[in-house]
Amino acid sequence: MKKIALLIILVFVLTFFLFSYERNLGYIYFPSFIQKDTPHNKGMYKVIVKEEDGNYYFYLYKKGNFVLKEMAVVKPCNKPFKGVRKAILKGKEYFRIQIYHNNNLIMGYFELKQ
Amino acid sequence: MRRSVVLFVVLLLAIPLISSEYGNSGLFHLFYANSIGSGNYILTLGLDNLDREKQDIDINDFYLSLGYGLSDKVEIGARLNFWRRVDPDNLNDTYYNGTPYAHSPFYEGLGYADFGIKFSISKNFAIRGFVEMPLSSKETATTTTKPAFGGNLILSTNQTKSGILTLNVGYKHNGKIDKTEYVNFMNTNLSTFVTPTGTEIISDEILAGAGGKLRIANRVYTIGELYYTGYLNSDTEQKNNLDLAVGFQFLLSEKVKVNIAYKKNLLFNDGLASTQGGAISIVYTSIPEEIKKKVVVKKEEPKPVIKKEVKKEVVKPVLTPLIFKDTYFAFDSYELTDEAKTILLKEVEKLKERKDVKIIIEGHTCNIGTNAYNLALGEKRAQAVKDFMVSNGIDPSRIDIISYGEERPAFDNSTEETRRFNRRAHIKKKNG
Repeated sequence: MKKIALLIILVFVLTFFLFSYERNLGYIYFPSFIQKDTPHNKGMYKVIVKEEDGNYYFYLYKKGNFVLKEMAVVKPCNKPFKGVRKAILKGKEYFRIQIYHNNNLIMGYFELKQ
Repeated sequence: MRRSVVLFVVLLLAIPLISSEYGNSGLFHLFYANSIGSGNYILTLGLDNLDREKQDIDINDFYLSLGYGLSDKVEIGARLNFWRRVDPDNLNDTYYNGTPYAHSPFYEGLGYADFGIKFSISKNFAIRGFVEMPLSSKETATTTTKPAFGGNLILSTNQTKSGILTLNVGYKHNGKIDKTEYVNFMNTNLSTFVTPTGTEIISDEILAGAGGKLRIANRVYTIGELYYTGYLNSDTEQKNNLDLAVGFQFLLSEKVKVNIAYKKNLLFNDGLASTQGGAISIVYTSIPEEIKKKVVVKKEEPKPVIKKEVKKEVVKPVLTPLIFKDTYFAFDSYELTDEAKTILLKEVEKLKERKDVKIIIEGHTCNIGTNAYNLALGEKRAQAVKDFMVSNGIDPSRIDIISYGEERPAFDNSTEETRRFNRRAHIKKKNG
């Protein structure tokens, strides 16, 4: 019994040190957009936010296949909210996805195809 | 060439031996914490050969397993195995093939069907549960006839192109059997059988594994695993079991892999068996693995160098051109960061050395937000830089500011990786 308890404690301690933020935002409808000169079609994309080396990234998947990785814009925020906010910004230049995490707004900006 | 020869020799040596039960379907020892992802699957066909030296029994374990990603957090798997004795030697087949309660793979026929489900809490931590269903009846049994179930906690490093390390701990509750019936059976079939004295015939187990794989060449990983089984409440003297598996994984293509391994039992303290063996398995995965393709580089012939005669001119002394570094700002912010302040202090020193120079500070933004907002933000950025320089001793009459807002981007605005460098203040020497 002591062995099991020790192993479980070890696992949780190691997990604490290795844990990095990852959140599945589910499927989100994207208008046509461009990233790094590559156009992407409108449609449903599965979006996962991952923390890597101190930065946040939005990972987009379509039909189970990886499509692209976009670095997030991070802005301090003291008004927490739940869920995912989506918006098309002024002049329809950007499609924005926003989530709240750890006193920050984590925002993905995707330049719309004009 | 030398590497190919070495790999070929290793392969030849390994074929009569192993392959580790390696994979990511959520059913093997070397589990990964991260999920294979929604809609992806891994199919494995394998053969383990176990040679129990002291019992003179050689067993082949054929298995087929499938792992499937239900979502990005949940993975299910199933495994079916078939035992085949290959060298019964001088032992009594009736005894071994007839035992209905055997928990070890000494018999022929279908063994177990395993079903597992794995929840990836993060890419580094997962919980897995499994059920092991015996497929044979008591009369033709190759296994205990009661189901077993258990679970594991899995901890692993991030999976990279270089490899992965993983740990797991678990508990398995084995199906209990009728002790009286078992003892009667064994006494009937084996005169030397000693009646168990404890409370359990088949013990529950503590499980722990540590292992990983490391890329040693473009298409080759080396894989290794230590797997511990601790038997609780065992009627026999068997208390601890430690197995080692080491081998290689070859990427035949982006989706097809072959594992070969050597397996050795390091600790098995009931004094009965010292097992070693080999295994080989072929894995098909819907997730392509990156393999670098060979790029043929054409050697260009060296162009003839034509030496030009350089006319010697009298070089007039010229003042070193002033080059200023850009300072960068966070999104929607005109606050100077510590890094920006360090850069600006150096620029201030340059300006103090060249009192004749006047400058223009340009404020720039990325193109997120309205033009009017960005023009104002650019001006605030330029003003923030001017205020810092003035507070560090530069005459304000030497500094002009201008905002270009989002109109003069220096980098691609379609991705944040480059867009962030447009949030800047640029310092230029003023002409005239």
